[in-house]
Amino acid sequence: MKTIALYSIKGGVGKTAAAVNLSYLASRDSLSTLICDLDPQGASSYYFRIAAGEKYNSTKFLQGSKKIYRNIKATDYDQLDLLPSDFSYRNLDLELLEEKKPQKKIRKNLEELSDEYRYIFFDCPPNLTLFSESIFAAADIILVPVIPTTLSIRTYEQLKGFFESSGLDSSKIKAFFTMVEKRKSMHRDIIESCESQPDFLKQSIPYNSEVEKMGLYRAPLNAVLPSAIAAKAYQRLWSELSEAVLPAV
Amino acid sequence: MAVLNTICFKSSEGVSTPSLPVLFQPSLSLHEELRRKERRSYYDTFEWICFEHQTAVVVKNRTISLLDLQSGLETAPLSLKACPSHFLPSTLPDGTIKNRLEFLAGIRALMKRCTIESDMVTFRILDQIEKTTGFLFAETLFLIKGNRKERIAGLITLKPLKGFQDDYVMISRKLEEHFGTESRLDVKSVFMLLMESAGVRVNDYNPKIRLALLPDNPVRISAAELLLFTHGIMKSNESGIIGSIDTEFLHEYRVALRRTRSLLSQLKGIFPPEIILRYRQAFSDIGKKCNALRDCDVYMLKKTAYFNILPPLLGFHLTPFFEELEVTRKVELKRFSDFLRSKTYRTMLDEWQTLLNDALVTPGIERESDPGQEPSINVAVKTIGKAWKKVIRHGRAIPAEASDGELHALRIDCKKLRYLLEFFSSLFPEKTIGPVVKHLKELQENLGAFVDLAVQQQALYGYIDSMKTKPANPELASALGGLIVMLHRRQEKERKAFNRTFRRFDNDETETLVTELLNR
Repeated sequence: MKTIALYSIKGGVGKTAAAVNLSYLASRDSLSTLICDLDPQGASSYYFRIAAGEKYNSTKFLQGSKKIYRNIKATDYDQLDLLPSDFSYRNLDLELLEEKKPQKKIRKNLEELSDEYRYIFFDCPPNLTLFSESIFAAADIILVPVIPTTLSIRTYEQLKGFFESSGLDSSKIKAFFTMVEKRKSMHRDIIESCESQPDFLKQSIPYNSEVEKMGLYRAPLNAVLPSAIAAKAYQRLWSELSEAVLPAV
Repeated sequence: MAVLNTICFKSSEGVSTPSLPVLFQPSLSLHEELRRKERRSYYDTFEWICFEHQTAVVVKNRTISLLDLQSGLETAPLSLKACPSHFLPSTLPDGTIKNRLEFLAGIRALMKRCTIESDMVTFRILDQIEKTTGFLFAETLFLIKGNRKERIAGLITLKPLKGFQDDYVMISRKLEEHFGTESRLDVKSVFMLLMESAGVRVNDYNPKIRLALLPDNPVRISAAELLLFTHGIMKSNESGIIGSIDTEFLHEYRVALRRTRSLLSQLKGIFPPEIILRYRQAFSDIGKKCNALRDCDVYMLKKTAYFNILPPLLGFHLTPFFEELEVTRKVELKRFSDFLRSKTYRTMLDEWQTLLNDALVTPGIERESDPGQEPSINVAVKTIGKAWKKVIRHGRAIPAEASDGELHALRIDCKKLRYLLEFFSSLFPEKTIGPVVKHLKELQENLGAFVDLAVQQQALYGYIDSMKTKPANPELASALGGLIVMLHRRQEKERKAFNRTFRRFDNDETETLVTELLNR
């Protein structure tokens, strides 16, 4: 089982779009895949038209494997399941504080799922908290979408700085550019300046209005419009991840 | 979360289902996905090992998948190049399906059991926010026999999706109301229905002796029952040998052959001496005719192991040996298949069967001097007791450093005892005979490994000898030499283990069990 966390301190950078499309592409390779919507906003659950059961909440999530397993739902796509988010996830930080080893909690809770799934994707909330630290420990790769702007690069550097100062394994962090507009010189310059950085993936995702329309289709872009420019880019990103990055972790 | 099982309903409507779309309104609606024809072939091993483990192996649209016959869950499909009549699990691409089938079937081939065609339409079951909460398949199933197509049944299948139990309960209730409870089937029943329609009997082969002999029956009748059983096993395996489906056909054929010979030699007086002599000779001849073929099979099965016990560079040089072996195997297979198809062989087996059937209905003249009239249980106790004593006597006489000949002879004694225990197992309580067989098995494993290693080395020496007349191949000769050294080391390990293994067998516990068995 490989776990991939789509994470960024910054909001609105395309974490959910990447998590939804990459998990869909993983499942298309006939590999059983789970996407865990960890953001209380529940955007990936919304994209898949799935809501958590009435009795499901953050406490159940922290109770571990069986409680989690019971609440997993099948998406409309073969081999792709989803653990929906609940609004109560906004309290996860407080609840984690009461745990003995909060940083290791998520990894432990997901252990039993390793028999069933080859890939687990986390769609993470945009902040840097104790819950984020628990996700960092659980993930094999922390995949960070970065818009080629100074502010985005700055928050990415902040994340790497946090890993170093906290003694975390920063080799887990991989970044890719998203919402790229080649016509903007700033985008081109920033991408060029990062080209030699080994933590940046080669493939980037262009800005494409079709991605925004996922909210209307309520389905992965790669499922409804596989020939869209962004869908093709997600396909190439998944190929790079599955062929070059994931086998090495 | 409990797994939601797939459920099916027999329906006369089949693929044309005018009643379905409105059945679940207004809370759920059906979205017709696509209508298509699909051919599915079902596979299993000769002894139905996948079915025994609640699994169906399905090949469709050039993919293979495993269907759980309890839940109806199907693994992700794996691409296949073709839809073969049979294949070995080891030939599949790496992955979960290969691992599972290698675990279940091992070296047995998966054979095509039947092919059906489904004329089907798929419906997505949608809730009010248009989320798919399950699938319905409406199908008309046809059996494919060559170019012919025969209608089997109409079927409605509800395939639930994880996490949508409420909808599943509601839909299954509605379907039950609509089609009737009596038409509801689980996935396994549908599988059985398909096999039955194809005229295939599931679980129709089991090489283990499961006859219930009667203790007071004349031993001639019990022997005839056992011999008819071994005769049946031989016949069942013939086509698999001729078709070269897997190596187990010949192996099981030969086990049945050895059991037959063992019965004829150990149960004296069950038939007139001239009959016994004639058939002992005939079965011994058959054994000789397939020895070379079995040897080839054994070496081919050991191919990977041989490569692995040698350093890679040396192992590589064994290739010509195996290439030659494959050619020899083809020749031997052709020769033995011709024999199995020959009139001489068929007539002999038919006459043998007639003789056994006659023995069942006319067990002979009732006179005290006729050994065939003795109650089966008496013969069982006598022969097992004798064979047991022989094993113990010979085993104890073997010195600390056992010779090849001594171990080889003891192996044969053990085999004879094992066969007797298996033949007559139904006459004794399982709790007594079971542990005796288990203890004997451990000893046999040690002796079997020892003798096999000796035979392999002998054959390799023979092969090296034959190389004298061929163009020089020093690399192959050195690889074979290396192999002999490695096999010899292993053989010596088995030799050293013998005394310890025999002591574990020849102990108070086994003796008590055997005494209990024989003094019933």
